[in-house]
Amino acid sequence: MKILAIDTSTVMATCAVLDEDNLLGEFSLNQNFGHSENLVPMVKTLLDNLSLKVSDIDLYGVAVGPGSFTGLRIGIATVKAFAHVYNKPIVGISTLEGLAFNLSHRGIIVPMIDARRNRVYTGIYKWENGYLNNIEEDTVMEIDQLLEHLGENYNNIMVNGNGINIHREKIKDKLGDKVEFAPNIHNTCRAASIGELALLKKDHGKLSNYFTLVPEYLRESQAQRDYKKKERDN
Amino acid sequence: MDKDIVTLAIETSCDETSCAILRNGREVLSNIISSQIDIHRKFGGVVPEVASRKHIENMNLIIQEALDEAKMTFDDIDIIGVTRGPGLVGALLVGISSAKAIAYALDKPLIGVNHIEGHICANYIEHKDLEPPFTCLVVSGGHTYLIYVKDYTEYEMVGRTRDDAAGEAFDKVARTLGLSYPGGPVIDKLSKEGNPDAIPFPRVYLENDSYDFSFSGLKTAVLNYINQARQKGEEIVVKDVAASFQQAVIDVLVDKSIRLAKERKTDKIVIAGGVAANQGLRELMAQRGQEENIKILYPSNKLCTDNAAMIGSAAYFNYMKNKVSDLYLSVAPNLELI
Amino acid sequence: MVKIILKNPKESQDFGEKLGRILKGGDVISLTGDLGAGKTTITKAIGKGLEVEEYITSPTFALINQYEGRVRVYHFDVYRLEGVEDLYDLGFEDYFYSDGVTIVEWGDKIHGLLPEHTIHIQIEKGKELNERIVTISGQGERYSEIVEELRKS
Repeated sequence: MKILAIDTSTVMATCAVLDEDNLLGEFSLNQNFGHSENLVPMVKTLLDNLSLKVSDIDLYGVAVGPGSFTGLRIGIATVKAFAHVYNKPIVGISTLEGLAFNLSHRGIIVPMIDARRNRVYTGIYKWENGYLNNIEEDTVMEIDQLLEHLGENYNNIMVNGNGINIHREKIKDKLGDKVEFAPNIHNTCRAASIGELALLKKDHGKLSNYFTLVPEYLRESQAQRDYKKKERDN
Repeated sequence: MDKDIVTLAIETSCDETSCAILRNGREVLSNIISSQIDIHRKFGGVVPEVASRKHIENMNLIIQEALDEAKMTFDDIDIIGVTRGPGLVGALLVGISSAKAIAYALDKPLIGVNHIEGHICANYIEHKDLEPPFTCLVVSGGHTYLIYVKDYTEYEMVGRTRDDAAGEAFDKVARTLGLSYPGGPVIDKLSKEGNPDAIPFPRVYLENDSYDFSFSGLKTAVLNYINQARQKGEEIVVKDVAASFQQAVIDVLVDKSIRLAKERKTDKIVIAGGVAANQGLRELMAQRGQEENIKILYPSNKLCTDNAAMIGSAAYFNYMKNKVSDLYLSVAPNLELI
Repeated sequence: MVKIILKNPKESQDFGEKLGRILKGGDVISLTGDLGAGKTTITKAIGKGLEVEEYITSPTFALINQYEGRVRVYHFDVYRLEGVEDLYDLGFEDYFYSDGVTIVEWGDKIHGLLPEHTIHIQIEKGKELNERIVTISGQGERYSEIVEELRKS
């Protein structure tokens, strides 16, 4: 079985091909170029070098968000079209889960993607019995609110994602020795992680199809809006 | 013709998600349009983020419906056409991403199409015998062009608006009159009941020999008229304002079109773009055409709105002239015709 | 907060052009004022200062127009968006935090969505017919820089 995975939720455009046993190839570009121009040519370069065609792909994995709305739509539209032409299934994977999957850490893993205006997209993940479990579901929140929550409830924390570059000092400040920063190479979205997660999840009823799959934009919850309003009014 | 060419075309430049299948550029096998107009009416205009969201939700359903109605599968497709601009960036990106992936997956040629060229080509679908050269007036929400169409895909821009597009004036006037979105069709409808001579709004012809247009002065004149009447507490007869405004627009559009057709000695004037559905414009153009012995052509209403069939027709004629895109094709929100 | 009185259309034009020449990629300008206060006129002048050659028209139909000048210019008119921000995340961040200059007419209608580094410009009609009173406010280093540049003649 061949899996093609794509993640364009952040500045990183990344695509990968895997089978059950191996990562066969991965192509990532961390440049502020339009993903819309480059994505299909990147996939073509990758597949050409593996002597594969789109028709050889059996399963698709795609990061469905949270992340840049435009980026998400480019990746998802592309994957849906591939899957549609050859009638193949898709597994949509949380961008944050993909980031957490980059890391092996015994405590909790907290990926953060910059959501601007001092907010991050984040969730809390933990490896248990060989599975990466979602402990607190993906959300968007103010960085201050997140750090307060982490400080009160957790100890052994590892963080990654582009949000930690922006808020590094603040995170150090608030969480001190409770937190470890992931090395840079594990800090960015990788299609290989999305692909392996797709493979793991396909047997657990997580299959989507090219008609129904949509991005997960993640709005702020009403509670967070209220929190923000309170902050503003103070 | 040696072999039939089957085109799959995608259009997502604004608030319609559309996919069509054509045979040889003029024969429409299917033309599915999913309009978002009810959603955007709530906001009084298109909200780009909302449009993009609807496109990604609907895209593949619309493609499948187009294939089903044409009784075809992806295997039957020879070329893929897609709108690359002008339009809303986020909306265009959904269509172009889908089209590129389909073209690469099928290993078939991809043709990026100018949306305005699509509007012109809608006439090749409607009028099976229409061939260039002809004079063409393009009027849509964002564009007003007077064009001499030399050959398929060959255009000479003779006149264009120097400021606002005619459609922009329609929308702004409609908004100020408190009419519902979209404003053009509502004003057209009201104009039928109103008196076009009630208020003498200005007709702007610019220099004597110019084929350019200017609607910003007219727009301001109408807005000033409404504001002044409101300030004085005078009653505004909405249908008369609408009729007088519309007449001022179409008088200029028709005059300049007829003059160009006579100068270039073309026996046809073709109207294209969303505003080609305007009844007032169609009637006056037809009347003047008859006087001058010039044939007036325009697409049916369905082909006047944004639709993928017209994009497919344009893609076909570009393909026949070897104008093909590569997989790096990018969106061009401000794309000009030439 | 800085208050500037513009006595006639020429001064308004000059103010806009000067501001346009000062602006650089990443700057966000919010324009507020009643109908007819001259938001679009100022926008056109700012565009000229940014070396936009195209005709700038009010983006009433689609909320946003995009122009190529010395840097890319995004021009929003968010008049009809009051309240919509509660229904959708409108994806404006991609513009507000881009390398281009963003000008938002009726920026007060989406106050909560504007970035912290926004330069707020309020335009009011003055006592005389064509007089305008412009109030500039904002925070941060960039705001101070812009105000300082505006003061130089």
